Amino acid sequence: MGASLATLFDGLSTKTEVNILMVGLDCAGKTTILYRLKGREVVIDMPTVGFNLETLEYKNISFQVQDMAGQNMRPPYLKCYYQNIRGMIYVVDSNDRDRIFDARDNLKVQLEEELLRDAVLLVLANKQDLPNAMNAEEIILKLGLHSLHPRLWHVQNACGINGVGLHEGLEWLANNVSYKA
Amino acid sequence: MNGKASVSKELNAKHVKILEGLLKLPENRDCADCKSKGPRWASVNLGVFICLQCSGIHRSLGVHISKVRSATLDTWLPDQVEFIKSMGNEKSNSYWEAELPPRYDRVGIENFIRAKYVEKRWIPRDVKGKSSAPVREERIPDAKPVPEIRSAGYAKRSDPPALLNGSNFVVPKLPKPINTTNVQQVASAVKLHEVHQKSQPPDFELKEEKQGEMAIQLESASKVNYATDVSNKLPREETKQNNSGVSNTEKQQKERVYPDKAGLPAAETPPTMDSKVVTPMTENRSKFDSGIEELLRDFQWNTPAIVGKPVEDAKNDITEKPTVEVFHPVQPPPPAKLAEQRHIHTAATQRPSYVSQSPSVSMNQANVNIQNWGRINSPTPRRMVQQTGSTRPLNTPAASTGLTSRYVKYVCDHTIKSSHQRLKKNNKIQ
Repeated sequence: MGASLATLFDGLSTKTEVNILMVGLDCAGKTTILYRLKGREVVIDMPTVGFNLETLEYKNISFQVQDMAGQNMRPPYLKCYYQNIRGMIYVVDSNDRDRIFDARDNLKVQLEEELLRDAVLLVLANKQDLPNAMNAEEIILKLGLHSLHPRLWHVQNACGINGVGLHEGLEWLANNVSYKA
Repeated sequence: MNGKASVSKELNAKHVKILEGLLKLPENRDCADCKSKGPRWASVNLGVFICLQCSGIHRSLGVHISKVRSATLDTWLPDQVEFIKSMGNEKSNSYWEAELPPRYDRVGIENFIRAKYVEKRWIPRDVKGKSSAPVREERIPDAKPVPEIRSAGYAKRSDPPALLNGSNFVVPKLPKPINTTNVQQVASAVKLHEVHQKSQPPDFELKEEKQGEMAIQLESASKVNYATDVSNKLPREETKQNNSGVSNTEKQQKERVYPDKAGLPAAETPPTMDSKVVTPMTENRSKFDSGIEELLRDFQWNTPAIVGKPVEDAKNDITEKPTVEVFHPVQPPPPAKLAEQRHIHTAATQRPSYVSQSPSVSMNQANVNIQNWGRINSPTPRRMVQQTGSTRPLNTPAASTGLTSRYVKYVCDHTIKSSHQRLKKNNKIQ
């Protein structure tokens, strides 16, 4: 499948643009992941106010990634930005066991959005380098991902600080988002 | 399980008000870490208000160290609000920066924050991890071993450790050749011991026997010394009179009590005894039950005088002074605390045997003993080291720079650590 896609994209000389939304609770590591993928060394960043918008080139797809603020600091006209979203990256702090259920509820709310109906879901289980981090299975259970049945989803272990697992996640996205307009 | 959803709008509004009020407190007007003005963020588990920049660093530590929330934008849970209300920057820093040198350069703020919260470099030394819960939830397990050190540590430090091991901790530890001046105190110690017996009836016979023997030995020893030592004549005569009186009554008691005793719990007054036998004991006991404080006070007054004597005699015994100094931290606490009777007891009975040594007899032996305590079990030196640790050389402007101070700090830390370990080991063994 991957090979056939690759040949398909090789045939298309122009890059495909795909809008991706990146959300998650505050302090989950969204901004760090975004800038890590951009190739910048990000060690410390302050809480995001509003959102960050970056374009990532991966193979010949360009991802427009919106990194939304985790706190209640989003602009009220947020839904304007939800247009034409093909995929969603949901970032979870695997080390934060106290708030994993908050994350579940938050994810549920996000997915109820009509504009995200067709979006595929990539869950990044971030901060795997920390002690006591939950593994992918535990996160699947706690987020109740099995109940999202018709939606395509995938959980990827990751670490935003050293970049482990991020490219695997993007790979999955590249292979699974729908490219029809 | 979802905390945020359970916070209603009204409650949230209330929390916002509380947090705004907290941010206006003078202690919370500066960031807890970098001291910049107007912090708007907080670490909910450390209980500090921090600025935006420091919040970024706190976030990078992970939620097991610090959980960052916005004081103005986030929804807080009731217990988080309660906690930060109870902590605040000042109280929190009094723990996390307890050992922080006053003019510490906070240039690398990230390194500073890591050292402060992750390495816990400046938390109070002897209470390591104890914390009047400066951290909520999961950090508390770290803190567990410490209260034990504190409570047990003090008691143990002030006890001469060798004495605690045996059941018979009064008499046998006295160095054999003993001076006359001792005897009075030993005799009174015997009485003290008697009071103590109440809790340990089975040992009574044995101990009293030994004490009796001891008293006899002491008397004989005193006679020998009496002949040789002329300079201390006067006080000795006095004490000797006292002694003979006391030890005689002791002996008499012993003689009378023994035949009747047979299996009766010794410390309690046997109901079958005839009144003659009972009276001296009960008298004694009631006297000392009520008069322990006075007795101990006497101790404290007596000993310095005795210690002072050799100096007046110009005997030139250098070892005299160090003995006193070494003993100083071991001095029993104010005698009113009967609960610590045991410690007082051991200290009190022990002290005369060493401190009141006259220079002519076995001074060296006593001294060696004391020094050995110091080295092996280190009850006193540990404290002394700690003092040097708390007034660390970094604080003093004279030694604030250069390798030496670092070296001294290292040595201090090292000794503190090793003594901690040793103390723990002792605790385990005992």
